[in-house]
Amino acid sequence: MTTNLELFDQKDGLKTPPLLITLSVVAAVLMGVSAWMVFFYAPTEKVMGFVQKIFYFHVPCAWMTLWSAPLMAFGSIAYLATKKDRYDRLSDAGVELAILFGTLVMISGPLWGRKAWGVYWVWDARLTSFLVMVLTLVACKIVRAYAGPSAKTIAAGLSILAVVNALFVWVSVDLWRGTHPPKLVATLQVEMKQVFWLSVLSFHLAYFAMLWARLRMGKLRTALDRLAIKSTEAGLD
Amino acid sequence: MMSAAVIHLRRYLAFLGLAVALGWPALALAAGTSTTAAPPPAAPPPPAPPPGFERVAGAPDTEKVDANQLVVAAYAVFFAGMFGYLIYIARKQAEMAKEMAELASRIDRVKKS
Repeated sequence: MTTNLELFDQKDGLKTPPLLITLSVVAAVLMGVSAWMVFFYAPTEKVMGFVQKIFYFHVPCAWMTLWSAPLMAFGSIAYLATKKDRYDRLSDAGVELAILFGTLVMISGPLWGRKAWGVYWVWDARLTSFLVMVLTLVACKIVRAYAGPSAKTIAAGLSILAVVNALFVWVSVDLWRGTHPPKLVATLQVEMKQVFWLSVLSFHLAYFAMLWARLRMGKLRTALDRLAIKSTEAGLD
Repeated sequence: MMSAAVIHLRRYLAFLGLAVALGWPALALAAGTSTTAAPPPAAPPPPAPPPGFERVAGAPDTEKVDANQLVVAAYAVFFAGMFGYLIYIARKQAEMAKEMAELASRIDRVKKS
């Protein structure tokens, strides 16, 4: 029997595309190289000192969080318009990755802040709006798990709210000069810029590999649900 | 008489001059200071942090905070988060694939019988 899919073969089990494996390996290697360069190539910043090393992973993580916004926006609006599962899966994957990278930002930022500002947290416009965005995304996942038949529609609505919040996060640092630093990448030394952009590249590759894997997982879940319906129809418990 | 007193006075002043010239630098050296060198300039104030990295008013002193620990903690969290998520996806997919294989084979058996 062919159960679905280009994803799954009853004989061989789960099939992982070689390109996904290659992408994951390249991303992991580049991330390792980036981490090595952060500590052994990039110069130590003169004023802030060693703690500035957090910058090289903190900022790409924040960018990846905001990268999820267009995915969530497209997926959610398309799902609300068409009710097709593939758009819901896209939105769900975007939400999950935004929670992952957003959480990394929310942990690494305060660690840096403790040294630079003297405190872990300030109720600055950017920090607060970012926290609200991550909490909205967590709410999306909770709704999806517990809200019953209308869960996907409510989750799509919440995702759109989070996207609006993401736009607010992006402009907040320019609109209100709070405690959070402004955009600083242009002011970096050459070696720092090299390491930073390598780190950004490795995070992008990792992001796309994770997104691909997460979309496959969603597709597999849909296939499994269909198979469960089939098994019920065939008289199985 | 007068000339002898003058001579004594001159000798005394010469001795005093010599003693001061030789002895004072030695004393100053022993005390760790120098008469000839200018006093050391005051240490320049530390450079101001770039915008967005100033200490928050009323925050405790940040000098004693160990930057190494903070950086290590941050990178540990980065790698644990990323690899943890990858492991979660891989395990979830494997579970679902196993479930699918079982369901598919059961459906096959029912259809054949």
